[in-house]
Order: sequence, then C-alpha cells, then structure tokens
Amino acid sequence: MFNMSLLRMERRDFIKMFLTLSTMIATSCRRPELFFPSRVKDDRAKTFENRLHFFTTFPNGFLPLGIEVETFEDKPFHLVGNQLHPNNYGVLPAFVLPSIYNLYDPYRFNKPKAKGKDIDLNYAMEILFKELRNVLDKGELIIFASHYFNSPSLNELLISLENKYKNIIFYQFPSYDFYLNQQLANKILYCSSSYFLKDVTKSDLILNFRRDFLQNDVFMPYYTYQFRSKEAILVTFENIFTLTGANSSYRYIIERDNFENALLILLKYVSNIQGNNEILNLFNNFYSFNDFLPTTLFELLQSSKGKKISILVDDALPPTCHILSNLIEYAWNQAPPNYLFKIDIPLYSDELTSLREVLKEQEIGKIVFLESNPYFLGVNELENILETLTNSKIVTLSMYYDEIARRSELYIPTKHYLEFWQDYRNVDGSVSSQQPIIFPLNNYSISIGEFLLAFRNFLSDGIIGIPDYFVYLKELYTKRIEQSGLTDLIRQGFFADNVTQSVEIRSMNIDYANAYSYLKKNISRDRNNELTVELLPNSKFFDPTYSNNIYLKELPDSITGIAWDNLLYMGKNIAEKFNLRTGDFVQISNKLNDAKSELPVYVSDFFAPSTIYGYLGFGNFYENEVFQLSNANLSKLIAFGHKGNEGIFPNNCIIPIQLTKIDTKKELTFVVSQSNVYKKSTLEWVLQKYQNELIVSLYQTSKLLGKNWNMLINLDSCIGCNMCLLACQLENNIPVVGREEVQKEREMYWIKVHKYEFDGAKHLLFIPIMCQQCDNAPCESVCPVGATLHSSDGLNEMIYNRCIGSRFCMANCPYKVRKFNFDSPDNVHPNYLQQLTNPIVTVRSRGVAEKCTFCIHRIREGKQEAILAGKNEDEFTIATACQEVCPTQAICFGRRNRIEKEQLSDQIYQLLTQFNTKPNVYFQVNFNNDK
Amino acid sequence: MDVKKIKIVGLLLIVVFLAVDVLLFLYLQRHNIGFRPRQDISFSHKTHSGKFGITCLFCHTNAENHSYANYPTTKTCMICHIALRTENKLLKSIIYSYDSMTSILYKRIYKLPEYVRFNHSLHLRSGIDCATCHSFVEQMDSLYLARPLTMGWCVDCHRDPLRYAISPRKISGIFYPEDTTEMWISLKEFEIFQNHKSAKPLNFFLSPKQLKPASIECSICHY
Repeated sequence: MFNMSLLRMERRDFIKMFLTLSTMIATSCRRPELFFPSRVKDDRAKTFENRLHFFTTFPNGFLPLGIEVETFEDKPFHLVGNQLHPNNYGVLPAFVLPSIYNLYDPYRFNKPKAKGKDIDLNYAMEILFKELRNVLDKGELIIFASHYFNSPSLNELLISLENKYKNIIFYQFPSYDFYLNQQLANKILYCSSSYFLKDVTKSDLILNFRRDFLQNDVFMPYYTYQFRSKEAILVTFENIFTLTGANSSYRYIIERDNFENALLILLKYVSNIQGNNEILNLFNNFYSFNDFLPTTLFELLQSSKGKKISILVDDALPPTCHILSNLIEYAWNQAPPNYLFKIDIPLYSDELTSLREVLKEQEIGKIVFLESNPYFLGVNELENILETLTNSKIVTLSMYYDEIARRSELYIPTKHYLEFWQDYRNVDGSVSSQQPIIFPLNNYSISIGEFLLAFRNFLSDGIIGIPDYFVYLKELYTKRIEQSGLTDLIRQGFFADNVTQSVEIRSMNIDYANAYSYLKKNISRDRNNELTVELLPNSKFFDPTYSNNIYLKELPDSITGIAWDNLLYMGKNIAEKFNLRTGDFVQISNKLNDAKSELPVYVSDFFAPSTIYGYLGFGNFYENEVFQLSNANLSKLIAFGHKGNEGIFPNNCIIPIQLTKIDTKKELTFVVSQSNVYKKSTLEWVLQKYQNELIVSLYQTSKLLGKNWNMLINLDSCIGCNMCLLACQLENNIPVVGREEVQKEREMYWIKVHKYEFDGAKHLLFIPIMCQQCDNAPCESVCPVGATLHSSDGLNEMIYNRCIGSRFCMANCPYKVRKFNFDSPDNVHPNYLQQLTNPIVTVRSRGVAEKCTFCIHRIREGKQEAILAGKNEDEFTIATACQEVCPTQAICFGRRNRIEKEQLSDQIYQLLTQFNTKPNVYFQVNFNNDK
Repeated sequence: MDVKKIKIVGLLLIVVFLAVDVLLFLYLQRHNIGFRPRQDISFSHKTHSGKFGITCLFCHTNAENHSYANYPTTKTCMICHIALRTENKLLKSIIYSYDSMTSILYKRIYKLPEYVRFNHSLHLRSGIDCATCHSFVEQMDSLYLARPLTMGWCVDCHRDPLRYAISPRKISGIFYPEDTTEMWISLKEFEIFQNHKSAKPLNFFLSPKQLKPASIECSICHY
C-alpha cells in the first residue's frame, strides 16, 4: 500500500529529498547517443567532401535543358546549367533551379490507387494491362493522352504500338506552349509545319512583338544565350509589361488588337524604303490604322537602313502576325529570315481532325492520361470525350494526385526526372540523356517510358513486370553510335546523333500568293470593344507538374515584385471605368459560361490602357498547404466542365469576361525593393559624383589592398531576372518564410534586385544589391559581442554562434542588406527540406542576423583544395552561386588585382561612397543603346 | 592548538576537497570527458592498433584527403576477417552486416557542434598527430572522449601548437618523405612519380612543415 506518511513529511526533509533526487537525476544524465550508419562496401571514386557531379537533362518540352547535378552522400541537393549543352549553354530558367524540391516533396509520395484504395504497383499494372487487353479484344479504342513526346525512344515505342495495334491511339496535345500559331504561319508560307528558331546574333536591329524571350518563354535559354552580347538595338512592342520590354532600348505600348496593324504599317513602310515592289503592290490596298506608331520608330528604321533586321513574335499572337513578320524580314533583308533550327512538332489541328474521324466510328474503351492534366488547360475535345465516359474508363499516371487522378478509377504515381533513364531530342538534332541520380524514393512509382515498354512486353509476351529502360535505350543506341558516343552521353549529358543542316532551312522560298489570300481572309478591320482577358503562361510555372514548389511561390515577380499571389493586371482606362486601384478585389467571370474567380488587381501605366491579362499556373491543383495559401486559379475560366470555350485553346487564351468589384480587402504580398538611394546610376551621374566626393573618414584606412575578394556587376548586362536571388537562396540554406512573413517585410533573400523607372517609365533599370563587404564596415563597429568581424582576406564575416540578435548591425548598415531570423530553423526547414540543405553551410537559428557572405564556404573550400594540391594558398579562383546561374554573365568575382584593370575605367562606380565605407562590390554603368 | 581550530581547519579542508571534486566532476560532465557509449561492435583499438600495429589511416582512410574521418566500412574489416572468419561471438555482427549488406550503427563519440567546420586532412598535412585530439587510442580498449573539444581548447593549440600538438607517430600512418626509414615510397620514387607527365599531382604527401601558430580568425571554423 502507498504510505501516506511520505506526503506528510516536514519542509526540511522535503528539501533534502528534493535536492538528493535532483542531483541523482542530474548525474545520471548522459549525452544522447548519436547513431552513425557506416557503409558496407565503398567502391566509388573518392572525391572532395564526398560530393559528386553528374550531367543530366531537365525535360522541358522541345527544349530539354542540360544540367549538372551535385550530390552529397548520394542525395542530389544542388544543380547548375551544363555549359556545354547545345540547347542552353548553361542558361537556365527559374523553375529548373529548385526542381529538386519536388523530389523530396512529401505530397508526391503516393501509392497506386484503385477505387480509392492503396494497392501494390505490380497488382495495379496487372489489373490495368488485363483490362486494356480486354478492350483490345472487344475492338474498342485505347487513347493515350499526353503532352508531346520529345524523346526518340518514346516515339519509337509509340510508333511500334500504333502500327501493331490499330485500336491504340496516341493523342498528344501541347501543354502550355502556343506552338500552333507559328506552325500555321509556316505552313502557309513555306509549306512546312515545323517550328522555327531564329538566329538573332547577327542582326543589328531586333523588332520584338511582345516575345518575352528573356523570361516568359519556353525558348528563353536559347534566345537569352544569343542575346548575351547585347550588341543589337532591341525595339519592343507590347501591351503588357515584360522583362524583355523593360530591357529594350525602345519600348512602344500598343494595344493587342493593334499588333496586326502595326506589322502591316511596318511592312508597307519597309517595302517602300527598300523598293520591294512585289510586296508593295500586293499589300498597298490593305486597310490599316495609322495613328498609333510614333515617328521615332520610323526615324530609327530610316537611320538603320542597310543593317540587318530580325523580328521576333510572341507565340501567343495569331498566325497573321507571324506571316507579316516573315514578309517584313524578307522585304528588308532581301533574303528569307535567318532561321537556325527547325523542330518537327506534330500539327495539333491535324491530330485533332484525325481523332474526330476515329471517334465517329469507334467507341472508347479506356483513356490513359500520361503525366498530363486536361483540367489544367481545358482542351475542348477531351472535355467532350470525358463527359460521356464513366470513371472506370479513365486511368491516370502522374507525379501528383491531381484532378484527373481523382476523377479516374486507377491511378499510378510516376517518377521525378532525377529517378529514371530517358533520352530527348535537342533543337540541333543531337540527343540528350537523362540519367537517374538517385534510386526511386517511391518504390511504387514508374516512368512513362517504363510503363509503355511494359505494356508492349505484355501485349507480345504476356509478362507483367517493370522492365529496365536503360537496357532498351542501350539496344536502341548501340546500333547507331560507337562507344565514344556512349561515354559522351554519360559524361557531357548529350551526344551529336543527327545534327540538322541550317542551310536547308535558309533556302526555302516564300509562297506570296498563299500568304496574301490568308491575310486577306483573316486580318480583322474592326476594333473589338468587348471586354476580354488574356491568359498567359507564367515563367515560374511553365510546366504545371513543378508548380507545387514553395521556392517558386515566394520568388518575387521581376517587374511588379509580387510574391505568392496571383493578380489580374490591367491598364489605366479599364481601372478608371470600373473605379479600381491596385489591391482592390474583383470577381472575374467568363461570359460564355458560369466560371468565376476572385482575385486582386494590379493597375499600372506600364500596360496598354485597355488591356487586361492574368497568369495561369496558380491555384489549388494538389492537396497542399502551399496552394491553400495562394489563391485565384485563373485556369478555372477555361478549364473543365465549362462549355462554350470553342477555339480558345490552344490558339490563344482570350476570353470575353465580366468584371465586378468586391468590397473585401486583402493585403498584397510584395517583396519591396525600391529605395531612392541607388536610383541614379547612369554615366553622367557617376561623372558628376566623383567631382564632389567627400573625403572625411572616422575609420583607419584598410591595409588589405590587393588581397580582397571583389565583385563586379555589369548593369549593362543585368536583365533583372531574379535568378541570382533564387540561386543564393538555394545555396545558402535561406529559408522560405511564407506569405504572412513576406507581408511583414521579413523575407530573407540576401540579394535584392532593386528596380527603377527610367526614361519616363519606358523601361526599367535593375541593380542587384547584396552585402557590399565594406573595408570600413559600419556594422562591425557597433556589434556588442564582436559577432561580425573582418577576416584577413578582406571579407566582412558573420559568426552566427556569437550573435545575440541585438540588430545594431542592421540599423547601422547604410545598404540595408542584413537580414534577421525571426523564426527557428525547425519551423522553416521541416524534415523533407533538410534533404535540400547545403551540407557545408550552417543553418542559422532563431534570433541571428545574417547577410551575403560572398559564398565563404566556397572560398574556404577552394583554399583547402589549393593547399591539399600543394599550390600557393592565394592562387585559386571560385565562382559564387549567383555568378554561376546568371544567364547574361553580368557578375564577375575574383581577387582585387584580377579585376583591377576594369576598375580603372571611369564607367565603374560604387554605392554610397560618401560614407567612406569602401565597399568591395563594383558596378559598371548601364548604357542605353539608343544613344 | 585548539580543538576548535582543528575542527575548523578540518572542515575547511573537507569543504575545499569537496569543492574541487565537484568542480572537476562538473568540468568533466560539462564537456562529456569520459563519454564511453556501448557500441554494437565490441571493437578493441588496443588489440588492433596497440597489439597488431594497424595504423589509424588504414581504417579511417578519409582523414588523409577529406574534411571528415570516416567510420570504416564493413569491407575494411573483412579485408582481414575474411580469412580470420572464426566463430567468435564478437565477429557475428560484422559478418552479418557484410552478408546482408546492412550498415553497422556506430555511436558517435567525437562530435563538433553544427556551426563548426573542421578539416581533418589540413591538420594531418600540417604534421599534427591524431593523438593531439583523440588521445592515445591504441591504449584504449573501448574508445572514450578524452578531450573537451571546446573552442578554448582549440584556440590554445592554434596559438601555441608546439606546446600542445603531438608530432606524427608511426602508429597513425602519417609519414613524411624526410624520415626515409618510415616511408612507403622512397624520396627518389616520389620525385619520379611527381615528374611523370601522366601522374596527377600527388596529394598524399607534403613536405614537412615547422609547426607555426595557426590563424585564430573566427571564420576559419565558423561560417
């Protein structure tokens, strides 16, 4: 029995007992045991720090991108562009960098599901294949709906299946990409339905019709690489505000309806001054408005007579614009347009008609969706098909459990692109290889290639099992290439298989009569006064598969600085008409159906006065908390279940709408990066500034000259694409803080790209600002605990474990580049994100200030490698994370004496030199090409 | 002398003795000196290293070229034990690990905080013996934490390495071209190997250095 006298003890006795017990407990405490699993066998080549690099390919439609993936202890955690790859030469768009996040994404890990129940993969395949065979025996149709396969091996599988079984149909539809407009134009002009890529390197003047080839374009890496040298004068016509427009020398705001007219006027003008009577006679009687193109444009054209011109047209613009641009180029250059590569894309409209014909005769037994979500895009034909089908006839293979997966009775998860073998066709005809970097994290997943191969094996042999796709690829390629080609494939990530000749394209002739008749039929003369919205793809989420990414969600828009939210962008006239300001809420509804969406608006003078546009790619597609935060899925307007969208997709996403203002207010999420401090950075201002320089100093002068690490940023090259910011975030374990914290201005980016309106808001100037690593650093003198110090190689360093969070350094920094951790790393780095963290960078705890370190871990590592290789301690170079990914190579990093020559030039300046901080970041002034 | 005085002095002595005891205990407790977890494998450094003279680098190979010294793979054990595959109970877990390809879970003893970057290879190349930080492991039956691993302890050695650092010993496996008696490659071979065109720059031997005071900048270890 319990002795109650224990509770009735005296006070002294209690204290005695308490003390003895507590000391006993304290002494018996031991350090927690940390387990460390060892390897059983270690046959791999030893590298520095156990980190290995692999070349592989990112699947990106018809422009697969070469990447270099870095692994730590067999786990991929970091990637950069492959400098050798013929498609991108190291240039990457924003959505590729954090794509490893999707590998570790917990919302991905699903089991195959049949009627809502989890089942085994082999069992799911068995069920599916047997059902498919039954369908074939009955004589009904099997449709495999997917995006275009840009893979030679997959296409071979497709052809072999289609040839053998006439009931199997592959229906491929474009994902986001408006290839069709240019393809139709090419069919009319050249009798070829290929998609052409231009060579703009040799042209002196580029007329750009809304093609945002620096950011919001599928072929962004291709064109940005060509545009790097920036010798040509860029003239942009647009109704929206794109990054390309912001970087061009001349930017003309015209309405969307006026693009055809502008091109017609230009055609007449150009053929007139070049004396091309053939075209002039044909098109002189075409009616066109002539009241919106400024005279400066014609002056520019007159002055650049004899130079080479090339015209880029946005793929979302109608085929008439593409035809006219070709005619203008021909009239000006007296030669066909300078096309470099052609991509053979099946013509979507042809596929459609053939599908319709087949559907008239036969019934559908099964429809299998291969990594494509028709709910996302609203493809009309599929809509009609799916309405009549029961759930049991739908099968889905996709990475996430999305809308179509929920609709279907059988669902099988697919692999992330770092987990399986695949091959892709490059634009120049060579082949890229995609190799698995990691064993599949999800044992129940299968890739599309493996699935189709297994299906073919089942039909021929009756065996159910997951085949090795690598064996199939090897069989396919060993016939064609030698051993050296195979090693190329593994080592470089690509090999030259079947390089096309660009001469073949150049010798094509234009069919004038055909073009004339098409234009006469299709050019509209009436201006449309109906209220319409144009839906555009977003550069952050081209491929909806990777839109489930918090890094991309928080990445601010280059132009507007908006993070997390989806907004409706509109010009001044519309805003006045509906009495709207930025931040007001509206309800937008499709006139043709009941589809509705609510979202805030963004009003700006930068857009054409009566234009409205919004971005696709936002909204709740998967069950994910990230998506519940962000709102407004505009694809609802065109998506499934809403009739009356005939002809909207894929030609162009223009929808007649109704707007109504709603009273609810919601705070927008901006990453604010505008302060007038750095505003003036033209050459004139710099020259003036050096005359009145203050030379009063409270500090001792630095004795570290010549040894310092310096950074030089060429503002002339900088296009403000925010890639440096994203790469820095991934490299340095900077947390994603979330929507609410960004609203409190607590985002943690170490680099901020400041932007300034220039030349009467015609274009923008971008300045990336990070820690300036001052020699006389104001932050160092105020730190109460000496947590920020100067190192012997001139770096202003931050010692996280010493920091007590007084934030004096942040207050005293004139550049305002220091950040403070308001949240603990456990909250911002959940378990699945710890796989992504860079192992050699400390994860900062709560209450610690931080800032750009000039990638000190890379510097230290470089030094250690130099010592181990027996070299001099100071003779090594490194590339910072931002420098590696800069698409225009605007950032230069090295020792002071390395970039001293360039510093002597008077085009180079530093920020806020009047404070005598002696920063180590230099800026090269931005020239405007128009002067 | 008074009995009282004797009593007071005696008491004082007892108090001082107890205080010293407590402080020593607290110091050791604070830095976990003597931390000796029970490993899954009852491996004896005394037998392998002390008795049979197997060098440190034979098993902890990464210490020479990498920032961290690895735990040996099971394959390393099996280099010898594939022949000495006795039915000893102590060997059971290793043989099981090797046969079933499951890794051995070692319990970590020497663990620096996460905000410290330490490079083994740089220290070895500078001519610092393993015993400087890990004590004389070849005399320990089961390994225990023998040094406090505090920043003060690190900085002491960085300021005055000649006083604290132990110079390379034969048992560690760190050798230099200078003392030809204990070399695996002779000096001539070394030169030939270095001058040979196809050979990569040799990165396992460096010319011996006189130990100089090392940098005590914060960012050497904390970044």
